[in-house]
Amino acid sequence: MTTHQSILAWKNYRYFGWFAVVVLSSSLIFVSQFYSSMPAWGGTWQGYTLGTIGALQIVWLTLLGVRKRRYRSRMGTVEGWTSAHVYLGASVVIVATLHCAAELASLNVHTMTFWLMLIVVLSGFAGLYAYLHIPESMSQNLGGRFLAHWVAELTEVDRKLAELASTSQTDWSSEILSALQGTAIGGSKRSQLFARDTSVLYSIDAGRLVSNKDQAAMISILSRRIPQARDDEIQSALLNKAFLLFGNRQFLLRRIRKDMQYKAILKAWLYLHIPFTVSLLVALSVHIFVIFYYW
Amino acid sequence: MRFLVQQRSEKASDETLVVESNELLLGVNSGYPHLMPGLGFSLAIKCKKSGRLKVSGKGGVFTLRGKKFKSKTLRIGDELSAGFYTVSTLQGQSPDDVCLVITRNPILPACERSAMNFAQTGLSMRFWSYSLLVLLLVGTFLLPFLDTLGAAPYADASVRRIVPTESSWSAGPLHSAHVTAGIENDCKACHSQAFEVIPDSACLACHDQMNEHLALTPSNSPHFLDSSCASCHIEHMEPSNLVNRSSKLCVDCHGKLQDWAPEMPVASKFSALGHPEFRSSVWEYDAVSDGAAQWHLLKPEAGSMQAVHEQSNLKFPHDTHMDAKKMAADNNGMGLACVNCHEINPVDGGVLAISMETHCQTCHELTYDLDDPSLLLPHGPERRVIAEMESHFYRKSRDSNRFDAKERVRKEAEHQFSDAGCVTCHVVKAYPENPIESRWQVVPVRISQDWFPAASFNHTAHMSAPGISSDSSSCVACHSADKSHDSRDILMPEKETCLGCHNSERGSSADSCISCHVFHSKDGTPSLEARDSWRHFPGSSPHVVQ
Repeated sequence: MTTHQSILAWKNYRYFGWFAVVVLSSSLIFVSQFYSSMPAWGGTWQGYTLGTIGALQIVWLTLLGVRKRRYRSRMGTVEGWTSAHVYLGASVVIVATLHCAAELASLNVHTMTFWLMLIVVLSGFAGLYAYLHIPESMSQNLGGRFLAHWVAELTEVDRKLAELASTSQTDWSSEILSALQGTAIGGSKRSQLFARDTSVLYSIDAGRLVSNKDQAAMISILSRRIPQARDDEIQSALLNKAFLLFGNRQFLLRRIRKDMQYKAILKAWLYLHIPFTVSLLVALSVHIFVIFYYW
Repeated sequence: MRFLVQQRSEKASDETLVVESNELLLGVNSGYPHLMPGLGFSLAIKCKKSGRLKVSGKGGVFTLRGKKFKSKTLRIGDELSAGFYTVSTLQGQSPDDVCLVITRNPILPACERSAMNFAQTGLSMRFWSYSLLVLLLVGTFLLPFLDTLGAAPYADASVRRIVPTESSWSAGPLHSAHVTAGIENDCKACHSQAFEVIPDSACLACHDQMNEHLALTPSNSPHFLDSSCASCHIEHMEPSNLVNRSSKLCVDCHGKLQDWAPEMPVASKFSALGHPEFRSSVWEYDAVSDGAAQWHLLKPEAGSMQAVHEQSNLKFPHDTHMDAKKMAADNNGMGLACVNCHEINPVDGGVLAISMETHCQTCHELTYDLDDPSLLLPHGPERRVIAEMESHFYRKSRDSNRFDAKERVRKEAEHQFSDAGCVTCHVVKAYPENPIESRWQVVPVRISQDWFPAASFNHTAHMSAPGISSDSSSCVACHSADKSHDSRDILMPEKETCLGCHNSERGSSADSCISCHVFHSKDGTPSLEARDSWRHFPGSSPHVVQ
């Protein structure tokens, strides 16, 4: 059994070697223009060569999407492809910059192709960062268990609290039920990504819905009620139980929300990476078409 | 009016609560007859005179028949839901009774109430991908392409302002000269054929005065006509590089001697940083030939400027003319300044030609009769000079009858041609055996107007540099006229004088070949005749210098 290896270090940094070869040879091709009488730009033979390398790289890089869905393919491993994808993807920025000799001041279909490529690569870097760092934090957050375990535990806590609340016809039992009902988790993409907590409860004292972010309002209500119910043993025991359950609930909600956020981050960058890859392919095709149209 | 309220939960049903009132308040306020714990607001159910029930949410909304309401009239049998409660209305036994059954539904676990998976919520990745795909295809391809096809709506300027046009396909800004020419938005002005390189005819349509680098011949033309205008002049560059100032372009051919064009007199030994020694062109005088054939333009191999001599046949010591002591008697005690004779042409910064009448004759007056100093000899052919003297002295002799006119003419001519007149400046050959009218011959003079015709030099531009003026001391810094006693001296500077400043290693201005030399030579074949039409049929053009 092999130990887990970072996709950057895959096969002893094999694709870092490829990256170095691509960057070095592209730089040499670019520098050779300095010995020519023509200025460096995309229209010299060096420019066309670098452009062809860059375009072929972009097409190959998009094929990762195809390869990773072909589970029965034996053309390398998905890990190997991903490692190559990262390194060759990074090299595209350098190849493309050299291709156009950094002539990017105006905005047209050609420079737009470059900027789209940059968005794709930078979002790829964000994804790489997420993939390198989040899985560890994620398993730490889940304490080595699956999310389903914690969700089940939360459901159990909620069930206990609902039962506890229905045994009493007091203000606080009404507030507990409203806190259970008002707990918000997940929802829109933004809520998941920023782990937004819009939980509310109906406060009897305030006579309206108040924020119950991080269950803080509910815990504060219970902590105020406990001393008041000193004389009533049953009430006091119920309140103490509710207090403990809400403490646990707070912890569970934090964990679940954090997990949801991690998963959202692991997906969010793809919402830039994939749609912009599609548009990059369109812009690249138009760029190549226009170059030959206005030969 | 009586409300009969019964609360039910999963496990049990509570006792029925009877409220005798026209209005029933449900919710969490402890003053209410019936509490609905966990409901985030209050419900007020009012029995109207008509017997209908009107329910309103205070601080919240309820759902009835799938729609949300703030306030609504209820019918018996309706079920409304508020929070996790369902309130059903039933007809009581008496017509005045309204039965309300309040059911508390189980609270859904928080994790099941809303999306927890990023992909399940909002717009899908596929949606964004396809949207961008369509947007890009339409915006960057379809709309500009319609413009290239000349679609009718694009004729309207207001449409062009908001819709992507063909100019979104432009790879960069045009040179300001082309913008001024108004072809910025007219791609077809140059790109006349799709998928074809810009033809030279597109350039020459406007640039019709352009000449080739040299006079083309059938043998040298392939070396020039194989390249198109656009192979050197590249548009859409940032910054603009329409005129390629790279010296490497020149050195490609003018570096080491080329073997591809042995018949061409190619100036060689140039490098991107180095210039060979200057070679001055001089007119060589050939005494044997006649007329124009007497002068041949020579361009001796590179050597020191002192090794080549001017053959103007004019005597002129620069040092004497610039020396204040020697000029004391003739020029108010001052030496001549360079600009007294060498006037700068304000148009191109070159030097205007010197003429006897304008420059020399101010001092060197051609007087020949001391009795009448206002009479001057013509500055022309020897025969006219003799004739002028003859007519003057014969008339004077006839009037006074005091001297022999013929002898007087002979003596004066002798004086002028071999002693102190013409001979002061001119080389005069004497043939004593000839009759007087052909006894002396002034050797023709041809002063070089430009020793470096292949280079351009603007004196005015140089005089704007700090420390340089039209003062003679500035002139002699490059042209050492003050030390020259012989008119055969060529007072042009050596290359070090120029390259001391114009040196790419110093990062100074005007350091490329075309700072001083032009590519499209005035002696070259007109491009309009040579390009495009002739390229395909070499040797067929009558305009090519054979």
